[in-house]
Amino acid sequence: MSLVTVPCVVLLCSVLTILASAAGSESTAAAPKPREGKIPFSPAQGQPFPRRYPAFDLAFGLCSFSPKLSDLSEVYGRTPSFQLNPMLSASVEIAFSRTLGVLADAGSSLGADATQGTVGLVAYLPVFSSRQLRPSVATGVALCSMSAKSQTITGEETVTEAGATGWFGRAGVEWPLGPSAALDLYGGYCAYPQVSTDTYVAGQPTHVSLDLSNVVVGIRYKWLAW
Amino acid sequence: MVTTKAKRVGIGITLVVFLSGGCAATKEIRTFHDLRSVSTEILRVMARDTTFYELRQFTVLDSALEGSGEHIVNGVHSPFAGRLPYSDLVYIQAQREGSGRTLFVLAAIGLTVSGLTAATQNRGLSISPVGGSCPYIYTWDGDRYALQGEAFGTSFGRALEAGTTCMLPAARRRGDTIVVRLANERPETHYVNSARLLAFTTAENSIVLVDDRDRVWPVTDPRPPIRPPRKAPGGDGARFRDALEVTLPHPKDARTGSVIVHAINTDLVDTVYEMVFGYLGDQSLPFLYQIENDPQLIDTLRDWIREYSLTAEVWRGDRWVKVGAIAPEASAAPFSRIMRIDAAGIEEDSVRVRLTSLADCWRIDSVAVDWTPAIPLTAHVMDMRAAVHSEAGSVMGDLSRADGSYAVLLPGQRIDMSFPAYRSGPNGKVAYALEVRGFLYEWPLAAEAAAVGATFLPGPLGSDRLAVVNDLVRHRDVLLPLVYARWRSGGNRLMRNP
Repeated sequence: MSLVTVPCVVLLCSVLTILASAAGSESTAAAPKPREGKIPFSPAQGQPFPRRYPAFDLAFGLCSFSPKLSDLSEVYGRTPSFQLNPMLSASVEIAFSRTLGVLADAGSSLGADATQGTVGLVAYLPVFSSRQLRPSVATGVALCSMSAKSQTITGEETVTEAGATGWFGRAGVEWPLGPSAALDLYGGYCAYPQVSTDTYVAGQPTHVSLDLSNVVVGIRYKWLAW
Repeated sequence: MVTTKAKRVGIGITLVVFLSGGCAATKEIRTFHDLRSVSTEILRVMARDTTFYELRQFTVLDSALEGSGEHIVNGVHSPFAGRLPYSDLVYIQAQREGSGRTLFVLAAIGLTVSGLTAATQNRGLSISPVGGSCPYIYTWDGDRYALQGEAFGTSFGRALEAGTTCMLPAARRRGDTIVVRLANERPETHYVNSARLLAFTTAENSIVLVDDRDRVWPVTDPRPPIRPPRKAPGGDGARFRDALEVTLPHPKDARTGSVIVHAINTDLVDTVYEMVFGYLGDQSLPFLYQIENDPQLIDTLRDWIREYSLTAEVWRGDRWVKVGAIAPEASAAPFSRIMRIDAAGIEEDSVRVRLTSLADCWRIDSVAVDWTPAIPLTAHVMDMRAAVHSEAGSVMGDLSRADGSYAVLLPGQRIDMSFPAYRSGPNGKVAYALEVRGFLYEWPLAAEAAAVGATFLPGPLGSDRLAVVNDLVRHRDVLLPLVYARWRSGGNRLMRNP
């Protein structure tokens, strides 16, 4: 390689480097900046979140179980405190369409062996539905069972075991927390036939009846699974 | 039924799953930044026309989402590739195939199904005392009959006939009489040999309790332990023993005192009964005959009652010294008993007392000590005025003396006894106690309980079950593991209730 060739190669490389550098800075300056901020969705805020059906919802929450325990005061000498409330509830709901579904839920008392469950049909009221609220009504079969221990006023440890099958009706309002979650407030009534037994009170044969029917109120976090 | 403990564990697991995984399984996408950061996940897109798109590959553009996946219309899936303008979309949701979501779904379904199953467990109404295996003693408290205790609970058969002294702290005059009721509320037959009312006078500021030898003492100044009771090594180092050590205050000049135990018995003995008699089946009656007539078996049963009893020992510096033992008394009504202790030679300002028994037989509510100098109270025997059986009329002749004449109580029957109230002087107060003597026979088990009991030993029922049971009751190392396995699995759920 001659003495002239070397400086020429160095010069060429320098020029190419400068040109490449200039081209790079030009392309950076010309690239569009990625868009930031909120996505400009359709302004469909008044509409309920669309879902595909059948839709599957799961929920956990708290509910009440308050049968008329004063019926037992003849045995216990006072209305017994069985620590039935609150109940932790779990539920599964399948909506076949915007208006109709089935539900199954069960509440288990945290302080005693007591459970109340319902299985039935639920109707959603699309007429009143909005993105803010979704009302519903439900009815079906109600089941309850309890086994609770307490002391009578005279100090006797006594166990009451009771259970029945009946029906329930309830109404609720769902407050969406987003497209996949909602808070559900509900209230209703579980009606059961009276149950009765013969027992002893201070050695005296005694007939005791218990009405397990109760008003239910509850709140639950609902996860709109799919 | 799902037990409360199991239920709480289930709820705890569910909450952990719920908090750790379930909520994070889906995410609503609101901003371009969020949208660009979910490139590895499935994107679920809801369109304004209420149809869905599930995109597995997508590119974020300024005005639209471009990608491929599926278009879902009324549940029908079809392939999709194209652009979705943001102005046609309602919202976008990222979905992850996380294990938390699966666990959450399983937990919710599991809890719902198990809850519904539990809700079918009980039907109808059943009200029954917990445990109990003997006549209940009630007294008129001025307003109603108040349960005071249970009588001869360990007297399974005539050979084990025994007496019980039960204080009646709730007793109040009804006119000039004291009324006491014996009631049979169990599937048993009770044979009551004698009953008499004892009256004691004592200071206004004291209560009256019975000791382990049926002597009656005033208790004036009961003092609680000076430090929390603690579980101690078993009394004789054997398995299936419970031991509780309490440290009680001890004034240095005090020589004798009363250790007061307030307790109730568990219904463990019901478990044993169900197992043994369920297994025996039609061999139950020959076994009962043996309990009546076989001296060796009777001695063995007495040993079991001693082992079942609550034994108190005092620490004497180098060893535990037994001071007394309370026999099992009641599993439906709590009771208080005294054991007298001699603290002579103990110089410390506290005494260590150890209470031991067969495991799980006693629930001790409190222990205290009273060092007030005292002597046993003198009993005034009150003559019975009447004893009326709910179906057999007067049984006063049967109950007035401990002889071979018994009043018989079948389930649902009772005896109301009246005695004259004791006329006390101007100072002090009167305390009453019922002294009752007798024995009982348990009734054959209900079919359900017998079926459960019959399963506690493997092997054909055609074998010599009587011989098997005889061997078992004589070999605690064989019997107790079987009993406690059944007891701790909760296999005795009140199956003998009437």
